[in-house]
Amino acid sequence: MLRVESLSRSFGGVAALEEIDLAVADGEVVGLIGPNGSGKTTLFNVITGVHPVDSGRVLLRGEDITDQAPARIVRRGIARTFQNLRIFRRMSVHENVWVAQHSLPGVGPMTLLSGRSAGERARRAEVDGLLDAVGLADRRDALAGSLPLPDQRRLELARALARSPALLLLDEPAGGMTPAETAEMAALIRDFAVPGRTCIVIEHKLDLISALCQRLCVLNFGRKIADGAPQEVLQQSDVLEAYLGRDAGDA
Amino acid sequence: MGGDYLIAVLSNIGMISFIALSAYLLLVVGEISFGQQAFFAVSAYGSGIATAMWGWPIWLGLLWGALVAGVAALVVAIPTVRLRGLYFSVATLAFAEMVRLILEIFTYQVEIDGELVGPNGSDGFRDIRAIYDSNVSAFEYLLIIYGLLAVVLVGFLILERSRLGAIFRMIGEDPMLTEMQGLNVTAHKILAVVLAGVVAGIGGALYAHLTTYVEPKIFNVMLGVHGLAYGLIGGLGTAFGPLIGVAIDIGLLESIRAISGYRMIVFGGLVAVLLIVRPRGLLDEAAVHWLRVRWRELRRGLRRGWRRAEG
Amino acid sequence: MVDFIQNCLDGIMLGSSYGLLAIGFTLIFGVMRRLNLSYGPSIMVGAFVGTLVYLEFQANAVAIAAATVVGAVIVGIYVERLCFRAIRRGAAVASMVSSFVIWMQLEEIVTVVFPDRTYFFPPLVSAAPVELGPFFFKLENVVMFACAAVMTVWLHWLLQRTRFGLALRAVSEDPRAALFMGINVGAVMSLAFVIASAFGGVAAYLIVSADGQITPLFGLWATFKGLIAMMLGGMGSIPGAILGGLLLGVVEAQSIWYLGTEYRDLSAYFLLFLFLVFRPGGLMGQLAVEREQAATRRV
Repeated sequence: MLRVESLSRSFGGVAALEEIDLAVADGEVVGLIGPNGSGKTTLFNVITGVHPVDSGRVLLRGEDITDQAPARIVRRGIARTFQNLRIFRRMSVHENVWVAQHSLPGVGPMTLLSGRSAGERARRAEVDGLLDAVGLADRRDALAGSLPLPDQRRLELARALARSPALLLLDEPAGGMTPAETAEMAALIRDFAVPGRTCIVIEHKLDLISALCQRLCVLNFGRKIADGAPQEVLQQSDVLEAYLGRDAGDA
Repeated sequence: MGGDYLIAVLSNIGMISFIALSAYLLLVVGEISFGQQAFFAVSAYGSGIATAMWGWPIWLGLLWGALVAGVAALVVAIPTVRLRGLYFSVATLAFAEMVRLILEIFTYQVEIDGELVGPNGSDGFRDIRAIYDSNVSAFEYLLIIYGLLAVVLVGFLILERSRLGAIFRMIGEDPMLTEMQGLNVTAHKILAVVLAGVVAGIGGALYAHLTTYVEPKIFNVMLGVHGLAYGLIGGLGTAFGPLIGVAIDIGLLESIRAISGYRMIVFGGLVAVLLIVRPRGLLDEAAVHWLRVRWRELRRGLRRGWRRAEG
Repeated sequence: MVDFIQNCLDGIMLGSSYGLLAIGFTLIFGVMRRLNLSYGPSIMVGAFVGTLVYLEFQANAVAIAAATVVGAVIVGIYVERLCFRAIRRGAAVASMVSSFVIWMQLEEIVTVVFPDRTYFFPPLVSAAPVELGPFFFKLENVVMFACAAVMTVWLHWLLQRTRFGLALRAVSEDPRAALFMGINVGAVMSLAFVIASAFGGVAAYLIVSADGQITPLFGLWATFKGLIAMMLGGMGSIPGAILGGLLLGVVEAQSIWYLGTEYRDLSAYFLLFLFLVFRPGGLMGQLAVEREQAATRRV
């Protein structure tokens, strides 16, 4: 599905990503972990075209998408969520998911102005279905900015799914959640988001990672230091040192 | 206060509303333009030239003015659309001032019936008499102004319920996130600038024919910034916002004679306080959303009551 | 050639007044990240306070200058409280529009108090132009240039060598982080506003006394010249403000000479437009860096 080849990116002389290689197969769920500032979010940004690459390539289903405009990359079937929550705060919950359909095939410029066609009604119903699935049906008409944080994360997930992406990039989907909320989120992703698609999940919470991922990839200072089955990776000494050791120290 | 005076005030409100709506559209996409008066000016001159010098009928002159304004907006949009925030604002300001200063030296006159007609630099452009020549009364012209304003307003209301309108709002809130929904932000922004130019252009063409005389210094930056302020006073949640802003300023304050000499002192203070309480105006997105939800509930309630009464 | 050089000299002298205006602008913008449109009008009010002191007491130059600066600072504080402090962060548009309506308000207040519009303003120096070889200098312009130079150096020292300067740069870079470092962000912003207004007051005094008269239109003129000079130099950069002012002055002087007076402002705006499209960061621009940082911060 996705292949990243010796990808490098630096900001003002500081290497955020160095020679990253990563291949994700169809239907795989890969966990991306590493300490803060290790380059996880930068990797998402480079894949989705937000940041240009310095060197290396990104391939989606074998096609080179390196340095294309973000909108074009996204239209090829990628959707993502954001670590620091990005929603349209001045729009309603329903609208936030509805807007994700704007660039889907069949919703061309001609359908932009026709609010009440059959196709449009079906798409509205689809949005309501998604909101129901993530548990936001009763907040449908609330202003998105007024939602509590866990609901905003759910909303981001629904919005990403509204594009029926082949590849889903989740950036800390349980960030800032309590253990109970995290467990709920993990179940939601496992039962509803994962089936039928490929996922990369950035997360610090190991219970979420272990509930979802068949494979773990560890970044540290912009380099990949481990890649493999979760049990094996988490026992590697440099991973423990880089990630868990520092994480424990932080806490 | 005579009827003529009332018609004049209402005509002014109508025409300034086009500039306010034009600036409002750009505020919706998150950009502040100090330069919408340029499209107003370009269209005033363009339509005036078409009717007074080329002898076109009024309706064609109005259409031509709007078209010229749209093309001018496209010409500005292409190099400036990538600029964000203050850079875009100042670029629009620079463009508008360039237009005004070019009009100060722009001379293009032809002899019609033994008289020179056409723009003459800083002396302006006289005798745009199309509506008088075709015997349109001031009241009838008022109806034309408000008819066109209604058409534009309906356009805005349709836009606001459509996906295109939603895209404009998305860009205004978060361009990056909009791009992440697979949408070409640059192209949509150019579209917004052109539409805004056309809206201002309609106002400019109407203005030239109402006053029959335009001069470059009318189209100074004050005109544009007033248009901008109206949207922020009335609110950015709906196209009615800028109209409310215009009505408050011209309709309300201009008619209170007691404060005539101090109008800006009162108005300035009021607006400054208003912006502290409501930084996105009276009818901001939250207020409009609240009204919409209440309205929907009311309708649902009424329908239920109706059914009960029937059954 | 002599003409060209004389034009450049005239332009530099003229440009130093633009630079003075731009310094205040850029200081406020650098700290607030918002545009204060009533910057020009507030120093215009300052100049009218100076006029009042002159008319009432026939005061000397020092007293008039002091009154101008004090007036500008007081109005500056009023603007800061009403349009910037009171409006929460993130509502930059509201701040700007608020500063615009306050501009209208200030202009009307001045018109009410000074109904004649144009008033005599006592010149600082009244001497014949100094001749140096084939070139002429006006003395008041030389004073203006010297003041601009001294103020730039002083401001540079203030920003780079003092604790306040450090705090100011921290606030300008990242207000939240500065708050966590224990910096009183509100106080720093207010003080920056006061300094900028004081600079504006000095600039207003020098420019108006060189003109020998003052009208309420000075506010509009000062806002636009300062804004253009700031944009040409690069927003938020102090040396940029001076360089931008000088560039603007030279371009204006050359256009007047070679194209005619009516092309003066047209060339200035044309230059500004070209800069914005091709080099939006201005002469001292850091736009590329800024854009990168902004992108990183936002994702």
